[in-house]
Amino acid sequence: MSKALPKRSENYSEWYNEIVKRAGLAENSAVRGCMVIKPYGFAIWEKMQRALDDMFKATGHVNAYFPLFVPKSFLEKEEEHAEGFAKECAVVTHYRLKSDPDGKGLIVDPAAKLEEELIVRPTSEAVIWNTYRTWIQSWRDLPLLINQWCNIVRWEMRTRLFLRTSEFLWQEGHTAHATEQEAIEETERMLEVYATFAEEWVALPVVRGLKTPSERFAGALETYCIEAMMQDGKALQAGTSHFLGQNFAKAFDVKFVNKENQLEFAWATSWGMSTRMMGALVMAHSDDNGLVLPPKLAPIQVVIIPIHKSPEDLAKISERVGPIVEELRS
Amino acid sequence: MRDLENGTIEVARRDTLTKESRPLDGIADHVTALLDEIQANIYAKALEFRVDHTIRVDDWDQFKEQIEEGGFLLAHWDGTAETEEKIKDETKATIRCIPLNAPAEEGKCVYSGNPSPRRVIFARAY
Repeated sequence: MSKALPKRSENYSEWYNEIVKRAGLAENSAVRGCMVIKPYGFAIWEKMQRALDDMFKATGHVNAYFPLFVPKSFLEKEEEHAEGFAKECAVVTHYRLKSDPDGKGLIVDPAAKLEEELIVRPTSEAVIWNTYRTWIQSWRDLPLLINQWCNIVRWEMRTRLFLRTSEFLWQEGHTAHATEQEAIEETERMLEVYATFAEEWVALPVVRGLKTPSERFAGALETYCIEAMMQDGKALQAGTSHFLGQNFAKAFDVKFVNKENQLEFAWATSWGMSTRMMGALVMAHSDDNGLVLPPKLAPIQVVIIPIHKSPEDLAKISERVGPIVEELRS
Repeated sequence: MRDLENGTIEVARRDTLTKESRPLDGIADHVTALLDEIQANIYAKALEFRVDHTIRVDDWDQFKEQIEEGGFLLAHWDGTAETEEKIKDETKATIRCIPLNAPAEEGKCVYSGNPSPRRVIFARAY
């Protein structure tokens, strides 16, 4: 017998860690702060992805993919944004290793220093808005409604499986609009998508709200969020949607000719939900016996256990149960 | 096996840990409906927990006491970053959000006593 699962009332934090491990959702990796998402955990994440992706498509968005690396000069362009993320960036300075002349494995080749450092994306506003400059010329190019599924890196000192990891998976939507009003409507629409997803799929009631200025996303004029309560009474931010105004359009010079034939900066939003939601899922519903999943996100919804004494009995049970399995699958 | 002879099956659900004997006939429909019920039930449980742990607080001593119990504290805030910061330093609680559906309500900031137009949610957070 393995050791009993810690009780929520005794050690909530250990209870959570143990469930994540014992249920085979994820484990810590050899790389500090980075997790391995195991097949069962990933199957749940895939279900989340599918549901969310369908909701994005249904609201007119399309998927695309942008580079992992952000040139440092891009990140610098929007001042508040740069300041907000500077402290947690992983930086690539070289592009080659070579054999250690002393024969001790590999060393960074000093001759292969990059002219400009590359930042592993902590979020993709900079890289995407730099791209949008060439994509947006006229009001006819708008709105631009793009989402990407990817990994990002934010160097964290204190990490916990799913809740806070240096590398995590997420989706980030980046939209461009012709008017302020349209961009605000988009920001609110996506908050509602997140809230609906949380409530209908994750079975997680959320409060929809606005962040205070000091808690806003770096570079946003307004950050909307959904907040959930975990079973220890602590809050967990489960998704955010940002109204970015014209900050990024100005930083990356993204202008379009409006219907009145005048040049104008585009209006922006961005919104994200991450594997953090996996942590919320576990913390909100599981109990002292272990993992509890909402059926809509459960990779395995029903288990049929035949109880029998002889192979003949099992055959009889299987014969009867077979059609039920077929019916449940359909 | 005995169940099979009786034309029944034992159905156990993970959310309530309850069991019941059901007729085999129509069991697939029953289970399908049960999955919907479980989905609704765990949402309802989580909502009930949140409602039970959301408390209106108007007094600073009560705030400091209550925050140790966890939960969402609905309190007035004067809208300044200074007050927000001081509350955080003293209690580790942050303003989680200004709820979108928060009704306008004149009040006094739980920390500074200055006027506040509506309650916000304070909590310790992950």
